[in-house]
Amino acid sequence: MTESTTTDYVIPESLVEAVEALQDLSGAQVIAGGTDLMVGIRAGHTSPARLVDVSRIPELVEIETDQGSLRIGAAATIDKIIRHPTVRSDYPALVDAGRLLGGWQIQNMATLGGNLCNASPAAEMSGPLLVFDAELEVIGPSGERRIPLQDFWTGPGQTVLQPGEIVTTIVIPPQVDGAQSAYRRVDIRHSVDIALVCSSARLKLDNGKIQFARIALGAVAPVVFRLLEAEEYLQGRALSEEVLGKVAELAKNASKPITDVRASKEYRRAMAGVLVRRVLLLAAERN
Amino acid sequence: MTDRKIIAGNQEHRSVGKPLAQVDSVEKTTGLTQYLADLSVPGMLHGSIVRSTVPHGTIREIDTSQAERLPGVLAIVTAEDCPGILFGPQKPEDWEILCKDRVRYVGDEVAAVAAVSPEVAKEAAALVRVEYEELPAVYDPFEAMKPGAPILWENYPDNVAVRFHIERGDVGEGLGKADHVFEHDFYTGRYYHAQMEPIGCIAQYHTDGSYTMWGPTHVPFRSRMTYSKGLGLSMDKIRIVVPPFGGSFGAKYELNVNCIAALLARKSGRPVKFFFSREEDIAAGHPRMGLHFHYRLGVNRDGRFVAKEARVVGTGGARTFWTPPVLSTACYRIDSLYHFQNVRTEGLLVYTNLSPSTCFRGFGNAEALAALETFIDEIGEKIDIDPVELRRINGVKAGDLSLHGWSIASCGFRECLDRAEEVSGFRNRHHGQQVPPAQGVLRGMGLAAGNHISGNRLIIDEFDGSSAQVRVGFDGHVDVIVGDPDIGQGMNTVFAQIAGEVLGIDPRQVRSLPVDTLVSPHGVGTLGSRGTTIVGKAVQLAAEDARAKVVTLAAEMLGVETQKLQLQHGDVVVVGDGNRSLGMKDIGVEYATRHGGAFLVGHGDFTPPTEVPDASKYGNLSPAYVFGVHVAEVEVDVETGAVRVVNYWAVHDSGTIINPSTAAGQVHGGVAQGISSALTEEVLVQDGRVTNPNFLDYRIPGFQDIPEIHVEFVETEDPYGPFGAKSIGESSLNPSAPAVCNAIYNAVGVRIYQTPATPERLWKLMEVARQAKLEKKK
Repeated sequence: MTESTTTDYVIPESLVEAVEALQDLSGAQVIAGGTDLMVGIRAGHTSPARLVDVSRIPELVEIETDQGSLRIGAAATIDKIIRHPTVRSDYPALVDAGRLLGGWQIQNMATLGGNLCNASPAAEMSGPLLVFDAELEVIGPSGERRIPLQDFWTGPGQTVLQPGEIVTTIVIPPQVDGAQSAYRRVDIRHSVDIALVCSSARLKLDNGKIQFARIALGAVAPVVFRLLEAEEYLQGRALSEEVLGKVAELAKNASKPITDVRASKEYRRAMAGVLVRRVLLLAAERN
Repeated sequence: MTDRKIIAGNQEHRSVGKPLAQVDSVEKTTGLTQYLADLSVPGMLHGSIVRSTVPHGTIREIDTSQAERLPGVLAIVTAEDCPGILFGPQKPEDWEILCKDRVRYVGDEVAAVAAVSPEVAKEAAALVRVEYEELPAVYDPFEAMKPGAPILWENYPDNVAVRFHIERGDVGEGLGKADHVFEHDFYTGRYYHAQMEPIGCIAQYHTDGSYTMWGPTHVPFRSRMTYSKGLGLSMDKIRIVVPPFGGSFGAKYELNVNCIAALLARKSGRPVKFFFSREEDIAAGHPRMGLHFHYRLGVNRDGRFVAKEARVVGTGGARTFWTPPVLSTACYRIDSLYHFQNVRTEGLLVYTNLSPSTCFRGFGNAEALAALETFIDEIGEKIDIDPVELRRINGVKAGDLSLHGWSIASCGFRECLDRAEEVSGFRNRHHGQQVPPAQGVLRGMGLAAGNHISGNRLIIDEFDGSSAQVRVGFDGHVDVIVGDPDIGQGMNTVFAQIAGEVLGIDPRQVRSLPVDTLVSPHGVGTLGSRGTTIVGKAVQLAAEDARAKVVTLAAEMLGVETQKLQLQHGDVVVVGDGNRSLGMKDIGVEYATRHGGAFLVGHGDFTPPTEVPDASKYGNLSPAYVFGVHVAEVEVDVETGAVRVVNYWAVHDSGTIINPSTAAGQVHGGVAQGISSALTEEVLVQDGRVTNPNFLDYRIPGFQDIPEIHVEFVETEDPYGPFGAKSIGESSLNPSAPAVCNAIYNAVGVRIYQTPATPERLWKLMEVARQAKLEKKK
């Protein structure tokens, strides 16, 4: 193990070392890109006793395909992910979202694991991964476990991770053949902004009828969530104006947004309806 | 971003009219420029301000004991260390340096700490315990004027700090006789300057009781007057040295932090530096004030304006910075763009429990134009006269004297209207054109005009104008010496071109010296768009004086008549005998040899033909007036309210353009600032606290938000400015916000009455319009 000159900054070279470094000091925290964490530290919102830098652990930065699954290392940067040929060809929602995450500088530093563990209800990558049925591989003091992404968040900034646990890999299981995905958000500035509302969809159409549907909404509830009712409703239907209208209603009803400095809850709820229609149409267009 | 027409310029000029790169551009872009943040004085400490955490309250107790014990803290100051003089840059004078017994906004300065590092200073400031007894607060100017509202300053029981009444002609009669009378309400929000470099300064105390202060300021000499009053000193006891600016847009005039730094420097005996964080700069800085406009305008069937009645209410903060002149500008500058015949304007500057506002590019006129130009667009539609024609009918012309006695010497307003209409294709615009392939995206075009001054008579009561020296050293190099700092806009480049033109030398060899009140000639300051026109004219005159001395000396040295000499390419040449010439260095050495080593110095001073307005505000304020017309093309997403500006044209009359590249740069920046002021920028406040003190939620534009901007200049030749030049700095911003608002209307049929028109605001307006339409159908 090498230690940086700052005593509370640890750069482990393996997962085992990382878990140890996290374990033997309470208040130790994982850092990868640092694009959220450092802002929080500077603002005084958090003051970890130790930072464990996982960005140099080889298996955490790799992206690989394995029998139809896509395995993305938790410390892979957003830029690396959206440039990956398989991601570009088969997972367009991830590319849509990654290109909107922060700006270029942020995309060069921010990691997928960090984006998920930061647990922002407005996180770009959460929705696309939800519609891909992603799972997280986690390692910790009591061994390894697998967490379905939809069970991962418990509230804004909160996850089911236990002290000492590290997300190692984001696993996207084999996809339904021919399904297509999309991500869109409502924002104010056209770059370097944050979603006021965001939505993701994955669809498989067969002769104009929906065979398979996944929809996610972000920034309208404490966590990013799947629109299960709408997914079920869409089964076997065509994307007519009437059907889209119904899904938009379901999206609005499922949204429990807050009013904050960025938008009112009324606007967020209305935009949930608008965005769901748009991502469905876009995913259908890509079919 | 450029597809601008590079103007040809006067072919006889070798320097003026050429797109020279800014003289300091290499230094700046390679990171070599030493800004305030890079400066350090031996023994320097770092300061941090203890700011009020409540919007309004009395101070019960200040306990500094914990902070004093923190290692590394060398001085703490409170009101007890202040001379207790009320002062400020404008009247009413209501600055205290540090609050004596009362705080009036979240961020008000209560105490300050000097320590060995910025981190220790910040930690110590957090350890100063201040106990407040909270008082009711008021943030809305209309609420503040109501009886029973919380009173900020006892001498102003209705919270009205300043009241203007400006009246010409008979408005009652005018409105009574008009064919139509229209009303209009408009509100412009509070905007942050978002200059790259936050506010800061260094102050050093000297044993003779004087101070040296380093820091960017538009007005170093005026700052000296303001600070010396607050510190209870004579003016000569303060020396202000101005480092290169990292941007301002009006944020850096007189700043109380200089006086706080002075108190700490004196108490600690060490120089003290302040440099605000971005959060502090936004939350406790001095944004453009919010302004409410209420207009009633009488118009005849033929489109002639006959009377205007206006009420302008400014959301002043808790103290007065430069808000009174900003408000007066918002009240009456537009009266010299159009002939309204009869006007009556009431202006009210109202104290509220918000951070004090100060100058901002546009100085109240950008706000007034946002209100007026959207109104004119609406009137044109209502009386079925093309909005461009309406402006032609009422616009001022060269030779006009406006209602308030403003003498419009040169005026290219009509030419700007004509060119803007032509190059943008505005005449053939469609109303709410669908943009394929996306559904629900509508396109529209909007036009707006604006005027501005080139210098403002009232910056210093006693006089107007500028003086300059142009110096030829014995090594032949040429220096321009003025007392008005380049604020980053490229003024020094323009001066180099002016001096270079007169002396026949390469402008890249002309250097403008930094401004230091100890040694620089007095300068009124770099404000009111006066740099090129007024200071530049003094530079021209100084260069001409130097040129005369050069020619006289050269004639003696060469034994020829002065008329036989010409200055070109850095040499003095005998006409018709190219072999007989002298270099600037030969002249410089000879001059110094004959004068005990002195440099050859040309002096120039320019007193513009301006008048101090009388009590009714009658009097010619500026030597030259500028005009501009902008056209914006937007796409509006009708479902989300998101607006994208997709095309932009800006045509300006700024007289002769000394440097087409820097002038176009001013327009690009002004338009970008204007687009985001129309769409995204706004300082948000909840219970007196700024809720968006960062660049994520205070949204200045990125490259994706700004389209290609087509810039053109209509070159009138002004009789007063150097080589006929007028201003561009502020006029470049002025028409932009209303052009965008008018384009939104053209796209979706919804009028904007409040800026910024954020997506959510526009969405709500469109929802209301949709509901109204449904009701109508029923």
